[in-house]
Formats: sequence, C-alpha cells, structure tokens
Amino acid sequence: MSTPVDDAYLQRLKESEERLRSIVEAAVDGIIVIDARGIIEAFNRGAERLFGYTASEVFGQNINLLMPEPYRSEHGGYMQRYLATGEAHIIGIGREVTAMRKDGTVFPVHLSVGEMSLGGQRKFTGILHDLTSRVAMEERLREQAALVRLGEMAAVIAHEVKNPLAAVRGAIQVIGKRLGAGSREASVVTDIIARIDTLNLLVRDLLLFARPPQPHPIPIDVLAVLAMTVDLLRADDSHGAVVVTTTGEAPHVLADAELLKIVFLNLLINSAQAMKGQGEISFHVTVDGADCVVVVTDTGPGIPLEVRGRLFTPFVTTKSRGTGLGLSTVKRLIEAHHGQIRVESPDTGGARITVRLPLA
Amino acid sequence: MSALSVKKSPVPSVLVVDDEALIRWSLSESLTDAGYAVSEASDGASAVAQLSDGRQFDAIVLDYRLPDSNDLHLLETIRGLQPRAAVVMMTAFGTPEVTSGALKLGAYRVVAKPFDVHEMVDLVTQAHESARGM
Repeated sequence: MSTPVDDAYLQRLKESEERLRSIVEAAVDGIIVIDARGIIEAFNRGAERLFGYTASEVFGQNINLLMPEPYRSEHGGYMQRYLATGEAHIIGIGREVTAMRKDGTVFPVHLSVGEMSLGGQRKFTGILHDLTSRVAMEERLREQAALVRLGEMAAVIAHEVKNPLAAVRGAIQVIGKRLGAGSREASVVTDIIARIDTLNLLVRDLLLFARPPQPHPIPIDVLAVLAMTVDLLRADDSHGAVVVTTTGEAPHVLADAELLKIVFLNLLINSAQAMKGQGEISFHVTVDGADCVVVVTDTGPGIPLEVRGRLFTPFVTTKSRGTGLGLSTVKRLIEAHHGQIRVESPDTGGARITVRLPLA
Repeated sequence: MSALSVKKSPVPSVLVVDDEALIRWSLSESLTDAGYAVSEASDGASAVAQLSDGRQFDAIVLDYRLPDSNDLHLLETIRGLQPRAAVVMMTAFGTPEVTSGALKLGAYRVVAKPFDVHEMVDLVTQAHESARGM
C-alpha cells in the first residue's frame, strides 16, 4: 500500500524523468544508446532526423547499420578491443566520422561517446553532431583560396606570354609586308599571325576565367553587339561557310559591350566548330518581362549526352583542342551581368542556348 | 609623307620605349616606313635621358611595364618633360585602373598587347595630329 510520502517521491521521480526525456528529445543532435554488443536501445528525435529512420525501425539493430563500409565491418572489432583492453580511441574523446542515412547517402558527423553502467551492464551513449554544413563551408573556402591562387598565377602567365606574343606578332607583320603581297610566303605569314592570335585568345580565356572582370554596364543595343560579333566570326576563314541570321528586336540592355561580345563570340565559335564550319546559326532577340532574351540555335549535332550535366564546368571539352574554359567563362560573365544562360538539345536537333539579360 | 610633298614640315620624330627588342624593331621599322624619324629606348632611365637632352619629340610610344618602371610615374614624368609630345601607351596588363589612370595623365590611347603593327602606326599618326591641333 503506498503512503503519501511514497506518492510524493514517485511524483518527483516522474517529473525528473520527464525533464530528462524532454531534454533528450529536444536536442538537435542525435543521441543514441547501445549496449555492449552494439545493439541500439535508445534513439532520440534528433537521430531520427539525422538518419531518416524512426526509432522503432532501429531498436534491436546493430549500430553499424548507421555506418558505411568499411567502418560497418570494423566497428564490432573496435568495440571488442575496447571492452577487452579499456583503451579509449573515441570513448570520452570524440571524433569526426562518416555516417550513413537510411537512403544510403553518407555524411560527416562529430561523434562523442560516453560510457555508463545501467543495472550492472555497460552501455554507451553517442552524441552525433551533423558536420555537413561545416564541411561544405570548408570546401567552399578551399575552392575560393584555390581560385585566388589561380587568378594570381593566370595574371603572371598572361603577362609573360603576351609580351613575347606581341613581339613575334609585330615582327612577323613587318617581315610579311616586306615579302610583298604576291610572294609565296605571304599566305604563310598570314597563317603565322592567325596562330599567334589564337594563342592570344587562349591566354585571354585563361585570364577571364581566373579573374572574371567586373562589367562596366551601360545601356547598349544587343543587336548592334550581335552584328559586330558576327563580323568577327566572318573574319575567320575557317568559319566562312557558316550562315548566321539575326532576327527580332529589343530595347537596350544594361551590359558591358566588350564582355557581351566575348560571350556571343564564344557561343558562335562553339556552334561553328561543332558544325565543322558548315551550317546555320540563328540569333533571335525578344523581350520577356524585365529581360531581353537572346536565343541562339544551330543546325549542329547538339550537345553530346556525356557532357550535358557538366557543360559549364571548367576544363570540360569535347574538342581535341581548347581549354574547355569557354562556356564556364561565358556563364560567369553572364551572371556578372545578373543574367542567366540555359543550354538545351531539342529533339529537333542542334543546340539551343537561351541568354537572358536585364533590360536597361 | 611622299617625296613629292611641297610642305616644308620637318620629319616628325617618335621615341619608342619598350624593353622587348622585337617590339622596338617592328615599331621602328613600320614607323620609319611611314616617314617618322625613330629613336629607341629600352628602359625608363634611357627614355628620360633622351627626352631631356633638348630634342623635341612629336610622339612617344611607351610600354607600361619596363625594367625600371611598373607604374604610371614614368608617364607622369614624360608628360612633364615634353607635354607637346603625344603619348600612346601599350601594355600586356590592361586593367581598367591602369587605362583610366594613363588617360587622365594625358596619354592619347592605351593599346593592349599584342597589337597590330599597322594599326599602331595609324594610331601614332592620329595622336600626333591631334596633339598638333591643340
């Protein structure tokens, strides 16, 4: 028979248990309790969220369910070694480990493990803190640092290459003029100069990629820029047979004319090269809301399946030559203008590139 | 400047300043063919010396980066020494800051390397005529 003192004591116990349970359930981190065999006995809401399992799904299962290989196979051995030797490698220490969710995806967690004794039995409590966002941020910082170094390197390379290129180009022009327009070597001289200009474009591509310039935008006429770009393409004989048409109209856009020329020239050359110098490219200019939309379509072979997901990734190219920087740079330049670019391979064939730029 | 010209104007003179020998050669040859009297300098000190010894130049082609100069101070000095000489600057660097800085100091144009030699000669002529008109 219970007495009022017993009842009061029981009440306080219940409240204490309720408080502790609430703390565990309110924790954002995962809290898991296992026995000496590794069998899961407790799994808080934080753990459910982290792993995607409900507590009932994991009760009675071994904790290594939540680990990817090779840790899954090794964990049993680690526990046995600790139980036998008492040497802690994680107990009371804490460490970054890789965990695995119900859907099979892995993610980094910080795991700290404490030991306790419950009814004479050894139990272990693990507290898991999701490190995904911290790891992602560290990765971003590393990437940024790498890009800064790349920018510095590109600037040095650009300068060291551009000066000799300028020296050679100037000198060969003078020699070419003296050979005379009718000489046998005249066309060779023209080719030499073309190669030098190709090298220069390569260096410029590298520089643009490594240190994207800030656009100095002013209201400009997109059609005028397109016309100039088409002229630049026509000046190169290797693309001479490509037919380019421009249709549509739009009010002025807010953009940097020089950078836009680079954007459209890159797109034109990509199409022309894919079509091996023969075929049609068309520009169609319209307005959609607050944007000017330029759609570039060609009659080429379209985008190969294997590069579709990585089109804008630097150094990816289907050409035997070329840095693979063109589209990545184009995307950066467009986004620096607060614009967008999308590339599609329509069923009708060829490629369709849609560029959106803000109207002035 | 044809040989049949009756004008008694003196042969215009230009100073080419660049540490790269081939660039000096190609500019020198092209400018001579176009009728200029060309002098050369391979660094800032030599350029300043030539501009200070009493001879008036009509135009100066100046590289931004020289062994003894990597900023716009040399341009400033040159403009101070011979303000009537038109200056065309060339550079492999070409940042907007360098370009606008040079133009503010009175350079006629800033040209990116590598350049077209014939366009460069045309530009020097334009710069020279524009300076004469002032």
